Amino acid sequence: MVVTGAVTACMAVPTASPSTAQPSASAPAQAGLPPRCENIDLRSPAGDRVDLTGAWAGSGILAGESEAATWLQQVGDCVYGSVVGSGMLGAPLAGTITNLSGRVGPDFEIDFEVVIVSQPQVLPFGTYSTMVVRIEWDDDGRIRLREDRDPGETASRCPQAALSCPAPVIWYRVDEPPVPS
Amino acid sequence: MLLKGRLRLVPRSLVVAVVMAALTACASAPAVPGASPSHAEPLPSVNPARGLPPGCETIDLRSPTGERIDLTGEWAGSGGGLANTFERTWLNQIGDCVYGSVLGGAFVREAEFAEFVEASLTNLSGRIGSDFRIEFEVVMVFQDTQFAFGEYSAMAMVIEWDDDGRLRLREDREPGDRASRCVQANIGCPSPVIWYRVDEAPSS
Repeated sequence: MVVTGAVTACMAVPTASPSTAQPSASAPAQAGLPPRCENIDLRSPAGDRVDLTGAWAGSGILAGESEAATWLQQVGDCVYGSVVGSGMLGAPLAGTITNLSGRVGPDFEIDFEVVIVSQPQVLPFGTYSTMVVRIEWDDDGRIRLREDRDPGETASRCPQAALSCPAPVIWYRVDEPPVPS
Repeated sequence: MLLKGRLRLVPRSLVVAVVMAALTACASAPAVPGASPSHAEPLPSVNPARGLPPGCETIDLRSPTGERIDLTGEWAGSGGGLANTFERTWLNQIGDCVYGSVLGGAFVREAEFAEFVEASLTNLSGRIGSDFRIEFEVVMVFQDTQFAFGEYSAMAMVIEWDDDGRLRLREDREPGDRASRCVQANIGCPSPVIWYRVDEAPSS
């Protein structure tokens, strides 16, 4: 059974409101929070602080046919990321780079803006779109990020879902959390 | 006088080029920097069906020769780097919004010795003003080693033309000046970032 963040937020470990939230572990001490970003204190089912900063990889297509990895940086409730296509590694002109930026809410949802900054060929969708991603835990208790879209469902980033992006994006962390909670 | 003092280190020809760009932009209606959104044409990078991202507006900036400015493309730098010495920058301009990624070190293996430099990946997002300035938010999303500056900072860049008329982006900071992204300017980032386009500019 998948334990979703929303269930966790409502039953086990309620998400603190921004006014009472503890400082996020990922908030830089020197520069402070970026404009529009606020502190947030999200907790996993086991009570660990959720910090998405790190490297992720998984299934689904966002940058290209083969994504090397996605790197995320959480600063407060803001999440920034880069999705680098495998062609980029070792061959900068042969890959795709996609920027992500969004905010994570107390419902464990991230509303991402998705901007393709480099693409080796013109893709059938525009360079700007949006994507909703949910933070959740799988049966093994592993944190994952799942695009909130049914398979084949058309979305902002997928005008032709059946052709270009049939499956929702699912990412798992592929490194250790940079700041142990 | 203050302006003159700040420009003291800038080559006279460059100052002339920048002034010319401003004058050219002001000379005729479509050449005015920051033209009224109602008169601006959609930029090539905009998907007309989807429109502009929230918070972004159309803009019509022109070069000294009257060509529409579109920063979308690949850039590389001289002088001080943002991520490190071996870096490449990709920008995507959508309306007056500019998004970018700066890949450094092992990400850019085409550069000599780049594989021996720490890899880094930096996100940029900002808006261009009618004054040809871009206020960037700089977020380091990945780095091999801990740099002397934080994960988030700000950086102002100026769109300008060099003596040869080449478009470039220059960080609006004097060498050695501290900035948001340069907590220790003399150690981590003594020189301002300067980027030149290294691919073909989109047709205007």
